[in-house]
Amino acid sequence: MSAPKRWLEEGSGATSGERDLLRRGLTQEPPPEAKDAVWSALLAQLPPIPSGGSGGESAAPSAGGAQAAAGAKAAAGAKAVSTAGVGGGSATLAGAAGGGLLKSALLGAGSAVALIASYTVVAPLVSTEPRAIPTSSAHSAPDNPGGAATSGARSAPGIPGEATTPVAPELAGLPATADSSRAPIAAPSAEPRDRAAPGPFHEPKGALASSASTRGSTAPAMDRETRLLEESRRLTEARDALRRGDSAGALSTLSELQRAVPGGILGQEREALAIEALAKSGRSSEAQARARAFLQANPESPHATRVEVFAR
Amino acid sequence: MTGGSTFKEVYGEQFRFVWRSLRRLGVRESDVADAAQDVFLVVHRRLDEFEGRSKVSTWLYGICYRVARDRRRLAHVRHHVDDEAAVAERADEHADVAAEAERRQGFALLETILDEMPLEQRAVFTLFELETMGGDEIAAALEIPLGTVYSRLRVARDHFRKALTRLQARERFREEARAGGER
Repeated sequence: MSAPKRWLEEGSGATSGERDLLRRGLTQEPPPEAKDAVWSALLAQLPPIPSGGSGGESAAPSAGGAQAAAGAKAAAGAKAVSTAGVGGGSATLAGAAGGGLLKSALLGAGSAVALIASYTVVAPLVSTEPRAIPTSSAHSAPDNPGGAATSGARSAPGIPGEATTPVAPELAGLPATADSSRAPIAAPSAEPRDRAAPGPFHEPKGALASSASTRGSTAPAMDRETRLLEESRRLTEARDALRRGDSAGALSTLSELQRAVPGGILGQEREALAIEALAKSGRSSEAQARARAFLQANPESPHATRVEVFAR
Repeated sequence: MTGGSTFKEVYGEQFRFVWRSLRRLGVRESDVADAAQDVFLVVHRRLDEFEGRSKVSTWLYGICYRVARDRRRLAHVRHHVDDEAAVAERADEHADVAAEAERRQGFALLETILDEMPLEQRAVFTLFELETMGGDEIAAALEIPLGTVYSRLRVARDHFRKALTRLQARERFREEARAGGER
């Protein structure tokens, strides 16, 4: 069975239109800060990572999580544990019994293949840990994933090696949830009911979702392509006008677009272009006002840096 | 083991691959950090079981695939909201407004077409055409026979081709309608 040529290769038989479109998918790199941000979030949920070198740094957040679990009680305990991630119900119980136990639950569940599915249900909640943590005494570290490296992290209990110790669950009078053969049964049944189901997925993730949630979501799905094409075409038109110095033309195209497709998938693009066009046509106070509004509504926008120039 | 790789090493070396793979599997820009976290939590738990039977990348892709699939199931209701949230994504200081808008715009069109594909076709298609993985690696990553890889690729290409033709036809039709209206 011989492999076909790839479409992006010469002589593959793909049309130029197909290649052009496909090529858009080549550049899909994470933004520069993403790698560190995800790493910090991970550390807040994992037991200390015995990777050498940055041990202190990696120990801090998870140690804090363990302390939080150990120190918290009842409902507070349950919430704190959810920030530590996996394990669901069993981890909650661990929280009642002690910090080291939390790790047992975490790593015990680790070998459970079946857990992957339920796991992803819990995780989004996990990623919002700063909001979920109800107490403040023991866990400053998870609250502050960015500045994770704090001293004293090593003093926390629980090296990964301890994790397989089945002592703690028995102390708690429970089935051995740290036992990998049982984990798949225990965890999925406990998790969705306990906290995943009420819908971490439906919580807006900060400003991004909420700023966008009012737009477009009510439009019929059938029209999506049409709307997108319409937006796309008019944005190209406006951009071309702007590039050849016709900012008035660009502005009128953009306001037409706003009327035709209010909101729109490319709404930020439209507004950013409009701000630039306003500035270039000498309407700088309007540009400034809209730039400020834009930045307030979309502080994380890819266009923010450019738009800031007009907000001054 | 992964030839002795620690979790941290795997993360360092594979983060970009995981990110990219998730995006190509249809995880929205606004969700991809969460999804990448999910993937690496699984990696962390299962790294010891990974015995180097396959390449790290194919093993990781299998995890990405499951995470993306589960998120897709759970999140399809929010789908359209996500599209719009996705606009707020990367901060590239060098991109001017126009260039960035253009990039996103083209990308939105590509995603529109990919979104219509069943996930298993989308996976094969993007791995083959964009990630330039070999057929056997794709087979390993998705745990399917090589023959299935190529038959899915064929179907996915066909799908892509038809979708693009349809988009172009619609675009032409509208332009003609516009021209007609202006006359």
